[in-house]
Amino acid sequence: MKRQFVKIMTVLKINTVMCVSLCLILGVAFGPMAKQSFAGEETVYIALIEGLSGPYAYAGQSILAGLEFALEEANHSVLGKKLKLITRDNELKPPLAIRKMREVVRKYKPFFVFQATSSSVSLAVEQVALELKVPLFCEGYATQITGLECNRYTFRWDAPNYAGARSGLSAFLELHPNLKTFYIIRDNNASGLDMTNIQKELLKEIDAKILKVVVTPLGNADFSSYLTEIASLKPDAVIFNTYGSGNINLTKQLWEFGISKKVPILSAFGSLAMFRGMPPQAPKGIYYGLNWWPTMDNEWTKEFVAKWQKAHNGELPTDGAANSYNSLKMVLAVAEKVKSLKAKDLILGLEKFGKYDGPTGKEWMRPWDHQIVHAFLIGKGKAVKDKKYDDDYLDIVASAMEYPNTSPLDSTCNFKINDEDL
Amino acid sequence: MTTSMILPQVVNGICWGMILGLIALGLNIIFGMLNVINFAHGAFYALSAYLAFSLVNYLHIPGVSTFWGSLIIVPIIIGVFGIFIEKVLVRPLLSEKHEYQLLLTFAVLLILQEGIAIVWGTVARPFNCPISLIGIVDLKFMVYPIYRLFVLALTGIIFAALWYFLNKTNFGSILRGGIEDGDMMRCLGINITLVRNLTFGLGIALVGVGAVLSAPITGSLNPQMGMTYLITCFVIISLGGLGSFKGAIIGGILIGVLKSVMIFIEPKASELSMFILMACVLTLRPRGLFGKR
Amino acid sequence: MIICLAILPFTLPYVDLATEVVILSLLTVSFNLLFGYSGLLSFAQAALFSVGSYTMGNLIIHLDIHILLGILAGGIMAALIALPIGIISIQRIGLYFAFLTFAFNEMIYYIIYEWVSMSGGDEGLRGIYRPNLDLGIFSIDLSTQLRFYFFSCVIFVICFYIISRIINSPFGKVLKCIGENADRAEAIGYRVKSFKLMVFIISGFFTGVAGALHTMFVKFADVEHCMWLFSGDIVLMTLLGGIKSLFGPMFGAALFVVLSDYLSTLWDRWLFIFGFIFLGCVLFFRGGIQGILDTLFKKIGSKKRQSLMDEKQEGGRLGKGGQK
Repeated sequence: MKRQFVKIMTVLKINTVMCVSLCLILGVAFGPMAKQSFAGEETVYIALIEGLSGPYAYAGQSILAGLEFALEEANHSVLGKKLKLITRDNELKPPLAIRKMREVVRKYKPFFVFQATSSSVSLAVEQVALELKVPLFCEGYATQITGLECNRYTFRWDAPNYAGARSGLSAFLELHPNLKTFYIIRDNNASGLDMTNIQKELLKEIDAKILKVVVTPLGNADFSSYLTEIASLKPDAVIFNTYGSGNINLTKQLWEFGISKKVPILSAFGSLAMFRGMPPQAPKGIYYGLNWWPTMDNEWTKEFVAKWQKAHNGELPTDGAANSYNSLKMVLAVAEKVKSLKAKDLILGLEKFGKYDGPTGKEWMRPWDHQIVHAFLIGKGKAVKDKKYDDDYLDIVASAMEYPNTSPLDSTCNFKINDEDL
Repeated sequence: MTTSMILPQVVNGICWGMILGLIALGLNIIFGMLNVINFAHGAFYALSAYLAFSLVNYLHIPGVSTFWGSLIIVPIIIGVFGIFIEKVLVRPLLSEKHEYQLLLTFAVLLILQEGIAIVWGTVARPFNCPISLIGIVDLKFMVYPIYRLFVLALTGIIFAALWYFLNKTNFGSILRGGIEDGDMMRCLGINITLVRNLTFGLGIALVGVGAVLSAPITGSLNPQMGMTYLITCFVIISLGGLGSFKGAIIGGILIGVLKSVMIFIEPKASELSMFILMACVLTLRPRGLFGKR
Repeated sequence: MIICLAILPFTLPYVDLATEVVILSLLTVSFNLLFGYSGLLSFAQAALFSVGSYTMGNLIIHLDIHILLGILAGGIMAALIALPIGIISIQRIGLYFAFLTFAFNEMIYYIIYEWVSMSGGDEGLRGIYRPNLDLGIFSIDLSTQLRFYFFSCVIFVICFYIISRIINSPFGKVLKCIGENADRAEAIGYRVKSFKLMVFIISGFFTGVAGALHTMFVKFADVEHCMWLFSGDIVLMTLLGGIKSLFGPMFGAALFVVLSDYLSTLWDRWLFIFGFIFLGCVLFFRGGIQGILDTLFKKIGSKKRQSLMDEKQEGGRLGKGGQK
């Protein structure tokens, strides 16, 4: 025993020396690094934690572009201080997003954080925002984000699934009455599940039958098994609640298998960036639910599109860009108005924002669940020969504004935090 | 669950299985020859697809910058690249423990995958079907895209050609000999190093063909696209037998059909099912279905 | 080492990193039992880590369990799962063993992924909280980072001590023997398979403990840590740190955590550089950091020894001269 002990001690001695020296080296190397971030007292930060890689990568890039554009317009400053944007890639994975959020908040203490592109990530990051008391503008369509799982630090522009399903599916049913059987494909995530559940409720109301609900992983590459099944089952309509590269692949394959010619199809989520990733003939005849489209007929859109095209060589902005641009503009406007960057002041200020002119026309920031209420659109895919320019993928055929939590009394969202505790 | 509903799934499964078999064959050839499990196989798959993408979309060389051009050129480029990797990295480790070779190819996988993300970015890139093959065919019991039938046919031809090459030509026999017993071949005076190089190149080139063929089916490229194929190929070669030609193809078709049918019957178990199959086969027959070792 | 663990949180930019180093050190040291000592390259650690992780998560949410019990339960669950995996996998050696563990890892990944009620599927298990350490007489609040760090250190040191006792026991010596030449060990009469199975289960236990601890650390359990890439990362860290000794893997874990944190802020594609480091390790620095440091110390040590020997010789000659 004693010999073992002596042996361990000698090994320990050498290793202690090595350990300590390693620590010192690391500390010397990285300690100053940590302090450097606070070097500029006059610099304040906002952070963006989003999916820059993975199945929704292009959406993430759009959001980043929108933020940078707004930052540019604000001359990289707010309230006389220099304003910097810190970006982190969460690869669409909730644990990574949580970790990066914690890291960024500790290092840079941003006064506002933007999180983009996925409901699952948003739900996870929301909790961190509450814990660290940092206001957050998050994206994703799951109704719970500003519903059951809401908190006073979180704000959202994207229409929740409730709105998307009610507005989208209702419009679709109006355009194609007498549909009795449906086949649904959805993403294996919070948003897909939520959307499908709300659609199921709606379809029950009209006595329609759901033949099958298929759950596919995010970014699924091959839907051929389901498409052959659709060909043999012959439903009256197909709904797909997929986003990102899954949507791109599915649209493409629906067209390849000739299904989009035969059967009306509704895609719950669409986005300009998505269409750019498909073969141009693919979207024809398919209906897509949209948060925004560059051909919308309102002042904000016309102005924004003109500005963007000027700065980006004539390229059209996507809804992601419009979204984040609008959000950052709102935050900066509130900051200037309340003359403060403190979380409490910003939150109270945003809650009082009320109605304003936004990307879809008249929009409204609801104080009791922090959801921005705006029109939700349905577009129909155009044939290639009808396109006037490359990005002319859709005709907007309908729009609606049906949101949950219509009053503080029946809202599923209950902020448990008082003004003083913010 | 009628036959008319299962049959299309089976056909689809065979189509996928043929592609998987092609890629798994590449893996098997390399293993059989060099006793190296090439973890980087998945990355080579992704790299081939991206090369084809660049060839078609960026380098506007008439005649070559098409799908057909890339089908021929990309496997050659990637095969040569594979030989380079083999010479520089794998060769020094041939005498070492297998585990280190595995780790080495794992490192190569990381480097290649990140390299792709650096060069081409992380946003998904579209890859489209050649125009001449767009459209569907009505096969009475199912509707199927022409392109996929083309893939079925082409892979069949490639397999037949390879089989002929390996079994009926002189060079093919040398290759097979090398797979069976490398030292003996050296004794017979054959330049085993050159043969090794070419085999590795051939294995990787097969991946190249598989990638270019399957890219239009999935329709979009992203840096991690090789990963799922990697895992599936590992299962296939374990199932079919490490180092076996027949094993890779038959294993591929088996897994392809299994997954297609399972996705239809019980999607949640589809991935799991192939592992269960593999575990069962390996327990009953440790060498795999057709393996020699 | 204890001193070093005590200083660590203050040298790093923030305490969370230090906690992560400790947890990963536990992981890599227990993996090294398999790889460095017994020569078993396994890819199943990620799965076992997740098993421990989800066990802890579910026990906390549903049973409000005591934190120490939960960690122990995580370890035991992982060991239980390691049993069938081990039994089947050790039937084969070398590459095939690695393959089989790889396949099992993927199997468990998909089971966890689809078992949404237990694991939360893609999104992971939310709503996990960190309870206070209830030691009967008094209760220690673990909610701050620093306190949790010291808690993890305590757990780590206990586990480390147990592992070092295992290594230095006759059992450990047989393991080393198996690692160097399994056939020889079999020839001498040791039932190699039983030993392999035992070490697999033991390593599995500690891996599960690490998983449970990690869940308490981030208050979240996710399926990402079940991917084989995470297993690969563990192998990378262990190799980097040095597989020949007990302490070695800790350096690898530390370096990995610090570098990944620092580099990821500089360049999203930092794994690229890591791939090269890994490559270098496999090709040239088989002993990892520990190996490099050992060689350095030997050189310094040998110089000392050389001068000592010279003195002795001098003394000897003088002595003889003196006597004469």
